[in-house]
Amino acid sequence: MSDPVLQVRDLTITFGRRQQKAVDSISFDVGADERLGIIGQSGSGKSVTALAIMGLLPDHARVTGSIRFDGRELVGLPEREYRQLRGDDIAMIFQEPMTALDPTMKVGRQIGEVVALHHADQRGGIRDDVLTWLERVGIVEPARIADSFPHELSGGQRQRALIAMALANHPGLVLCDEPTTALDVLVQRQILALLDEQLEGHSAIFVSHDLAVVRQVCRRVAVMLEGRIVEEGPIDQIIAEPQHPYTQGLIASARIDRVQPGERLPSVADFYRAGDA
Amino acid sequence: MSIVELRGAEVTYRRAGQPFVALHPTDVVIEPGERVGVVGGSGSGKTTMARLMLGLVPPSQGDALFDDRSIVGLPERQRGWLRARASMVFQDPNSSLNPRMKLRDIVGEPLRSPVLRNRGDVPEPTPEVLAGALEGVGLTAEMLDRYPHQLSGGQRQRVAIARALISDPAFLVADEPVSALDVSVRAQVLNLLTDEVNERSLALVLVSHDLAIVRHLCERVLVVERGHIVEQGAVADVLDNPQHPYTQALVDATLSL
Amino acid sequence: MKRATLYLGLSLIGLVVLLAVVGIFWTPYSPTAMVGPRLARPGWPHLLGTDGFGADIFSRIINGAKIVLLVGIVSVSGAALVGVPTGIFAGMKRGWAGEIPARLADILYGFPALLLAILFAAALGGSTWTAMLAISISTVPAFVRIARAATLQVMSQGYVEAARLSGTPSPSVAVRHVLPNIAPVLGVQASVSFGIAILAEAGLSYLGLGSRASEPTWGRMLREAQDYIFSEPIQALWPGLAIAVATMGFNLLGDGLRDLLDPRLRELR
Repeated sequence: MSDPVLQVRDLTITFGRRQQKAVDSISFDVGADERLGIIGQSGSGKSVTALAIMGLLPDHARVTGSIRFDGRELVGLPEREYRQLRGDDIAMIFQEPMTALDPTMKVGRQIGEVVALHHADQRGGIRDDVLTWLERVGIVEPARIADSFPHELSGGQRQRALIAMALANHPGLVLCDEPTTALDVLVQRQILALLDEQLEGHSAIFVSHDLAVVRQVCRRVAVMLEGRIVEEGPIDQIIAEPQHPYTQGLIASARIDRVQPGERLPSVADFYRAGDA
Repeated sequence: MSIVELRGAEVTYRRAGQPFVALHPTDVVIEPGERVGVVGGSGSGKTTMARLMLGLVPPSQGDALFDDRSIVGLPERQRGWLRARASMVFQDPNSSLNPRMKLRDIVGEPLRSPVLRNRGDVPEPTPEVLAGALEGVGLTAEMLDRYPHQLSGGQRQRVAIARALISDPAFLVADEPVSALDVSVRAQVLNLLTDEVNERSLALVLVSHDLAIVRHLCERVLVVERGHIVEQGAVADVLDNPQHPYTQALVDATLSL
Repeated sequence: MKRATLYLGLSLIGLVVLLAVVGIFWTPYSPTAMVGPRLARPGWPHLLGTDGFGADIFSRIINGAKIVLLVGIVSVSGAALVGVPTGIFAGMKRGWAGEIPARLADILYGFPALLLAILFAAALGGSTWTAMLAISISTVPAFVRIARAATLQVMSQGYVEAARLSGTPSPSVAVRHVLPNIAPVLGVQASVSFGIAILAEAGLSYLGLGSRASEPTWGRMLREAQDYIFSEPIQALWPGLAIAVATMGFNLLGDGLRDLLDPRLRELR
């Protein structure tokens, strides 16, 4: 097996004066062309991990351990070099595309700025590239959408545009943070199919609280709980034979459709008790 | 006698200067104690339908009735009977709880309402009553002095449920009550909602895009697409044997493990 | 550091407040009496020199700080007292009842404070109080606008709908939900308005529409220094500097508060 694209070792992230650990000594690899799902509830540290890889943590966060991307150490990397990296090699797809897109700029121009980073020499081709990208992410009228402002698009269209923007640079690693949580089931299904298709040939991390969603895109999953990875492995195996009680609870509670109407739904608390929901 | 009725009710919004029909003329009757799921994608008009039932949006034509009395065109102070008997749980507890109020004031707010006080059987917002309301939704009395941001998402939605139920309503609208919550806490909130609806024999309108939840909580379902009810009937019939292609698409898009 | 503006603003305001508090109890000399030679250069015993009548400039600056703060507090709180309830009402009422106060505020917004002050000075005679009244009235629309915009935002929140659904009457919604949630924005506006009020008072006094000779405000001092602008330009420096420090202090505080409250900026911190 070739070297992993991303290698995380003993990553620990603490916040504030009280040194609260949001992430507690986690290690994982993401191989070339591999998509890793990270699953956990809010506060489990999954999103903080993604932000740490992107170098987007606030100033008062303390990061120790190692994040190696393509052999390069990212922990402690100066912001200037990080900015370069974020533009070129690591892209992120956010949960709420409305906040990730600039509301004052037409969608086509926003994608064009990303495209231009790679096509500085051929000035005329940028618009064509943008339209090609919009088509690739399943937008029916690329020219009209390119000339629209973000608020004129539907939630699904915005998320498609964001995916085009994230992939336009052919990044080595794509981070997806709950990219379908704000969407309804119909659009979610389409976006997941699109991600599954477009992430082909990319290394990716997919952060979510919903195992059923992660399974549509990833084959391997890491379960995070209170800052640690409590279980990791092939997703189908984990769903079939979850080892950790928390994972067992997560799976049982997600199977609402297997419970007779009116009967009690099993909850995570039936399997694993810590804190409260 | 029905509790909620829409008679040829239509809702039109203005969007960028153009009239836009969010809900085409619709007839719906909900009996006391009946649980009805309203399903559809975003922008289908399902939330508009629920808001119409509570008088939060006016119909552009047709009528909306509560307890067989029209709620249309009345100023807020003449809607006492509606406000006293109907409540709502919102999708996002972050926005539905005032960040600058303590839980005791949030949960107690309905009890201070003059409309509810007129009903006569509403308890005073004493510490015991408020503590009981929080305990009823699985929280503890010492949380009364906390602010919403000190709670987890699941706890916040419990607070919203406690507020909706403290006035002992007969009709509850739940608008995507768990879709802003983690999968891992949804089950607990749904169990709570099921228990409360059962115990109080509430009439429930559950607005959701998640068919599994509607199947679990409701007897009857309305499928809404682009402002039209395209299919309706008993939950088992509609969801196991969908007739309309839109229902079929919703069923197909539902993920499970 | 993003908070640098906030702290710098607070220090400048602190300086002015310190001067004002000292000025209530003590000034080196009487600010209105002739205590030394005319037009003395800065030195001892007159730290900043004396003006054209032989009054001690340092004492006059200290005394002016008191008046400047009084003008700011009275005119800004007066404007807020009228503007905030009007803005909240305009934001909560739908239809024409909400539109009318908003449009009136827009019209008044375009009416220059100076013109208003001249009107008042003509009708009531120029004094610090007429200046305050004029400044207060012309600050009202800023509060109406900001309160209305912030109220509109709060009204779209779920908790306001929840309150309406339980039959909570509008005045209770305004006090319980709207006011606490728009208070931070109002604080920013108050700070900015305070700076503008100080500047406006100085301008009015400079034109002779504000304080009388018996109340040496910074604007009035600037007006008197004008006579010697070519021979003794340093005379104009002190009141000018004082006005600049006070105005800048409140503007920086306003900016700092705004940064602190802007959720988009806060997330990045």
